[in-house]
Amino acid sequence: MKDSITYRLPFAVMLVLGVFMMVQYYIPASPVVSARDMLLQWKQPLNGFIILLAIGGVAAVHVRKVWKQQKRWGYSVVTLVSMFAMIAAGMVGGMEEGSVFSDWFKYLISPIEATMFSLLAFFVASAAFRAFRARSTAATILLVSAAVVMLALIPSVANHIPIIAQLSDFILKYPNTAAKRAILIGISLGAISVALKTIFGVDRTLLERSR
Amino acid sequence: MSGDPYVWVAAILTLGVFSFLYRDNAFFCFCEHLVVGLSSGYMFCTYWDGVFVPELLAPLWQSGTGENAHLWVPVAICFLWACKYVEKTKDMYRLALAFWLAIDLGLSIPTHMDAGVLAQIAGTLRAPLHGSPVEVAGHLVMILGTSLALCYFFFSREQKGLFGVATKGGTWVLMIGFGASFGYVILSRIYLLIGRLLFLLRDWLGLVG
Amino acid sequence: MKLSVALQKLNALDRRWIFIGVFVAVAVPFFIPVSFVAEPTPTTLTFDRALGEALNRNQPIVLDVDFGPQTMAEMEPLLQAVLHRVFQSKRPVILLTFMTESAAPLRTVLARMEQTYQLRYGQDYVFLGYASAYAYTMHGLGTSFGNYFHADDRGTPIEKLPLMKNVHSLRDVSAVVNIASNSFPKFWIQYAVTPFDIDFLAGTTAVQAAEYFPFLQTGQLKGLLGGGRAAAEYETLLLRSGVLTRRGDATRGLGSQSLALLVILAFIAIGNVGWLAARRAGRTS
Repeated sequence: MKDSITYRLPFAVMLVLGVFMMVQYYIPASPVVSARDMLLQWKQPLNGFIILLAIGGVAAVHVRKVWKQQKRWGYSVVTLVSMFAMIAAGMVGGMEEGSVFSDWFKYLISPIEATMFSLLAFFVASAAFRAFRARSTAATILLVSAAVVMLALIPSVANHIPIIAQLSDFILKYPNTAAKRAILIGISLGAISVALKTIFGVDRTLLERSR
Repeated sequence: MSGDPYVWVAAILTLGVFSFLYRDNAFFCFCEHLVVGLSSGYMFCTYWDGVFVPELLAPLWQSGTGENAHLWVPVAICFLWACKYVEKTKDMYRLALAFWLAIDLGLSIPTHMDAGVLAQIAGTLRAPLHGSPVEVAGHLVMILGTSLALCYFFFSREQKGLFGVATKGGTWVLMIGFGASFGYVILSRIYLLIGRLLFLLRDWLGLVG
Repeated sequence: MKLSVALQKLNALDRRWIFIGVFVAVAVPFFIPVSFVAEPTPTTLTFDRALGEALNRNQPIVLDVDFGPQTMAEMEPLLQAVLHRVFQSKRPVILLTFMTESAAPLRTVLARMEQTYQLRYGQDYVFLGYASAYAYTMHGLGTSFGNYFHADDRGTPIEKLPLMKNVHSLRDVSAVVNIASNSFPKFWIQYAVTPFDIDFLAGTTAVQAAEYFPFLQTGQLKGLLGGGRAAAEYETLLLRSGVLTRRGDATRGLGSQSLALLVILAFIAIGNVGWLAARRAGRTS
């Protein structure tokens, strides 16, 4: 079965398109740019389609939950009703400023999402209290660096003790740049290696048949 | 105090989410499921109206056999992608996935190399060693710090001896970086809380101007 | 001995006390009429200088706005400040977004700006709307706008927009400014700025600000505003130059921000004292 065309074809597509996308970067000739533009253009509707499928998936999960009356199925009714109500509001009433769709976004989605994220202020403070201990040299360096940066963010401190602001600026501009740059180089090299292995079929896990 | 019913609804939902700080409860779960449904509906409309129709359906409708005929290809790929959900045809999905991944991975190689590796190495090596003493010291710290932190990520060799000392230095540089990030993380989260409290105290209750 | 026991107890402080402390620290300053001033740091001054240079080039700028309600409290003051700076300079702006949840709040902000500056849609600014496949669209915009945005947010074909007549690709704009709460500035740098050599500025959340310093040093990023604090600094700068006439929400939050940071630093100190006391007691016993 492994020799069949249906098995091999995706690997061939991967090799040809992958190499083309890699090489086109260095060839600004018009036909190459046109071909690339066409390929990239196809990605937009494809992305849209995948998201629409994903939303369908969310709906299916909750319909199943309600149908089988699984644990906490009442909340799934809330999800389904709100989902279809929002779709109806957008499709029928339009999405422009002042529409029901826009108002629901502003007064229903926004406060819930914004408040959920604002909870992190409490949890990050609690985590800092529990985990930020000077247990070792490395932990102490982390603690001191964070404390200097935090102090410099307080206007009264930064305005009255300029050395704190200068020290924070130094930390951000130099050692922080060094740390983030090393991570960036590491991530980039890792991404390049994974991409090369996948395109040339060395790593076949992504395109293997699902069982 | 606000007389707008929408502001009241928003305030009640805000309090519902805040109730989680005490413990998990039915009101919080309601808010959680409500936002999942509303956000999915919002995304559906935005993708349909903002991507699917203007980028695919409308151009195909206008000249599906003319200059936009190439857009039948993404239609076919979408069809292949949907094959995933039918047992007999689910292998066809791999073809759509291959197309999807090939463009991503192919383009990521030169762009990562240019922006994430070469530009960064050049930036480090070209750091000027002139100017004020603080700048010179800073650039030396940056050059040395980048080298030490890169040593830390080199896992193919045992981290002992002189190399071990370098990796230890690398850990310290990384810790300074993480500390700086953490300070900013706290600030960021506080601003989000400020936003919610301003909404409750100013827009809803009108207690502050 | 009693002090040592008390200090050890701090180690096991219930997290709800920390929650109350943070809540009070953020809420109380709203009731105290003390105003704070965030002095612009060199990073903020560099951002303004770079944006000013871009605006002086007599070409439109691209403003990509990518944040949702989750980070609106931090990002909206930043966006407002940048929009005031740009619209007051009377340079045309091409707005777009790669995040579905940005579209609705952006329409609200733009409606407000349109009134304030008497802007004409299609000539002073356009909103191209939402585009998916962000990284590839960013890369594609380097050679063509028309292939990736067939119509604007209002459904008008982009070739019918007067502002877009002379804009075919990113080479025809003076700079790209990205106000984002996610990693999109990194994608801009990777997929458009480095390959097409474009001037690029970013406004990010404070969470991400530290990540972008390597790009500032290489020049891939010409200016950076990091979160609410940088927005407050920018508001100060714009108030002084007369672009803004009253302080914005970022400056408004400086008191809460300061007290909350002090409280969290105090909690960290208390935690360390408690931990040291517990460790010492452990050694003695």
